[in-house]
Amino acid sequence: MPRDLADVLHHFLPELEVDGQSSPATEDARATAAALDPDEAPATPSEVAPSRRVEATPSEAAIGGARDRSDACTTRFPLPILGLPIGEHDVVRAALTWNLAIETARLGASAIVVAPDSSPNSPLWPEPGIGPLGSELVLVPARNLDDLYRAATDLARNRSRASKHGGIVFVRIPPPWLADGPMPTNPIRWLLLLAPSNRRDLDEAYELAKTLHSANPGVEVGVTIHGVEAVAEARSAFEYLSRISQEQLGIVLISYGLLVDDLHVYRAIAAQRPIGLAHPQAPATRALMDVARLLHEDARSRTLG
Amino acid sequence: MAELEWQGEPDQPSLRRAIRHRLRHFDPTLRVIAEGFLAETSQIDLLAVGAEGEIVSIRIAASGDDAAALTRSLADLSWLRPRTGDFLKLAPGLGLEPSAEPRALLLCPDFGNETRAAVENLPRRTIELLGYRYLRQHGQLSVIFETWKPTGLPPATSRTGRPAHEPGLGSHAQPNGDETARLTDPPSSSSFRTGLTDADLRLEH
Repeated sequence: MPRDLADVLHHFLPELEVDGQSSPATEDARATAAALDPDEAPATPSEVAPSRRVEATPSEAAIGGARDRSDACTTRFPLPILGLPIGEHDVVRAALTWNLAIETARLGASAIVVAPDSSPNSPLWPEPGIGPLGSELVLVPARNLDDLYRAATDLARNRSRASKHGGIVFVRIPPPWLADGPMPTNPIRWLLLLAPSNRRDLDEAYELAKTLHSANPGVEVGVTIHGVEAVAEARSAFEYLSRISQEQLGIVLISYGLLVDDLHVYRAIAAQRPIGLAHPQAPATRALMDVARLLHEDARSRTLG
Repeated sequence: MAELEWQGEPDQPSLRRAIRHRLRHFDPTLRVIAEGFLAETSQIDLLAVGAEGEIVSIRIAASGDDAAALTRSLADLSWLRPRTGDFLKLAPGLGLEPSAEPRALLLCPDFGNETRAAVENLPRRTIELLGYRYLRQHGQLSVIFETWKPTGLPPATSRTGRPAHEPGLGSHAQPNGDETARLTDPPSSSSFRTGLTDADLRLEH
């Protein structure tokens, strides 16, 4: 089922007459491609991220080695990096993140989950590597936020070469690392909090937003309310969190929808199977697809992680 | 402010991307669903879905092109209205509400008096005018919005000679500031976003 109007754009596109010398058919195809994929639009030198040589990092060596082609790096934007605070034993948030990555891949985008490999026997993740629908799980030997984001940034640059329709690098951040001091400023600009709808958890999410904001005032914080049974419940929870964040901290939270409390979620988590593939018609799948679409839409408007 | 720099006119894809990014703060309920979407004879820069499920045409005009862009925005409304049902069938996950009237957002660095006067004749929110300025910060294109609210009255001028309701440059530079809320018309009732309904959350689907 199409989820993005861009997927069905060709149904509505009459012959496009474009100013210029090339044939209308060629220009039409080009315009269509640009409409479907803004990343395909030719980048101007000023748009392109500063060129730098990508050095192989331990993380990339671990996943098959860095492809050091610095010339290619200058032709595409790095994929946006989305940070998600997830605790060491937070299986639910980790599973939701992994499933969001798979649903993002279903939209035709590149989706990479990056997590520190600090706990080799951690129950958080399935086997690293290429997973369902081309999504990817990469465990990196990071010991602090700087290491983690350096690895994520390199992956964001490398994977952007093969990504025709953009994508997202999802980064699991151990929450204690956020309290370690000032965050690296440039890469950590976009974070997502997965917050349950009860007041205690919302207050915890607020405290986390406060920590993020004090560590990096330029950070953009998004919120997905999870574990709800009705849209109104999620709306009310988000509005509460949004209001106190704006009043107390002066920050505007970005809404990224809701995820439902569905038995399929927990079954899929236990089996480490993607919900969207195991139960494609489940409410949990619909909600994951909706959140992935919101994230992907926002990711496409970003030029740097 | 040494890191801020004014530049010549940016190319359209960069400007479109920067405006799309800024719109997220300006109106978090607005969900952009397509770029460069061909309408009757020209491309709608950004096509979005609003808080009520209405489809929103967003046109970005260069300085001096506001009148022509207004005509295109009006044409977009006529073009989009009969197609909303088709969009809904083809992309049901977008959260479109077929009974919601399409509306338009027109962005231009400066609006002429005729454009402003023309918009005052339209029902509220049918076409909203939004001024913008662009600059580069740390090498990245940024956009600042300036809202304009139709009054139905000739614009009163302040002592500076600017229309009193026209905020100065940078009024949206701090998107979290009180000034933003004061100048935005109307303040959004909720910035919560989802394309789902309660029916989507029921297991018997």
